[in-house]
Amino acid sequence: MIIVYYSRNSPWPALLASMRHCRPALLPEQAWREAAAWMKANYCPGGQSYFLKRFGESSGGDTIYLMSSVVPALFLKRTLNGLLELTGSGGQVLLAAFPLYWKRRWEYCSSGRKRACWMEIEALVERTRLQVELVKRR
Amino acid sequence: MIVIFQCFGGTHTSVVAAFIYLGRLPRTRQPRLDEILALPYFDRAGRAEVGTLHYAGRNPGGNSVFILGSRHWGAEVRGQAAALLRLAASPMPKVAVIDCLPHVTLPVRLGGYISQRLGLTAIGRPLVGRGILWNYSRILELVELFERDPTPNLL
Repeated sequence: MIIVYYSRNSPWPALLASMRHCRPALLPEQAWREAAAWMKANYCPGGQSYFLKRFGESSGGDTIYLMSSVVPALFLKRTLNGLLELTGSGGQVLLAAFPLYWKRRWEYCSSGRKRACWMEIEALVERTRLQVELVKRR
Repeated sequence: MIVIFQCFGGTHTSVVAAFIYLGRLPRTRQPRLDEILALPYFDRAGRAEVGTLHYAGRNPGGNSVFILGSRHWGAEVRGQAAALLRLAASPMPKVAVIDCLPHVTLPVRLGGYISQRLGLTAIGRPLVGRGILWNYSRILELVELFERDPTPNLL
């Protein structure tokens, strides 16, 4: 199955969720360091109107992508999930989006802020895992 | 093929274009105002429904027709939809999106704002309808252009 983590305006939250999904034992400080290095290597703003990149594979054999653009998450989710369903691809791709809009400078969060963000990320990843399980069971 | 008519709110210009395509609105004459106002979905979808694909019907060629409101993020949505479909499905399903946003005129915007945002449908709705009628030939042209060559609209 393909899982696409989506965040609005910055790929940071989606990237952190992808990391957390692939490596459940990852700690926040370590995740931030690695995310900064990943962004440096893979992300260059400008050009396309959206950012989509393959991140890796989870232990369950799912392929993880991350995606980001200016479109509000819930709005995009509604359209894309509808379209995937119509084309019969609903069981192959899962779009996991952060419902809240985060306006932060991700690289320079305080450690308290990182912990708070990490809890939101963990929650989204957990929810996504449950959804994947349900889809696979069906 | 899935055919999606897309505009700002998915409730005025895209609705009219979709129903022209489906043959529910005339092509040889200008429709009456009441014909426009009586269309399903016309001036109906609220802000909460933006992003939802509304089914309009099936044309004689067997294409399913949908209406979509994408605010001013139409291009981004089209790009991301194409990218996800490419990931998900092989072969890529045929989906065409017709951007009606360039045909949303000032009276339609104004009428839509009065009707949808201010809730004054008695004033806003007829204004939108007239705005559509004033621009009907251009919307018809857009639909016919798509019918002649759908390739540029395919995702």
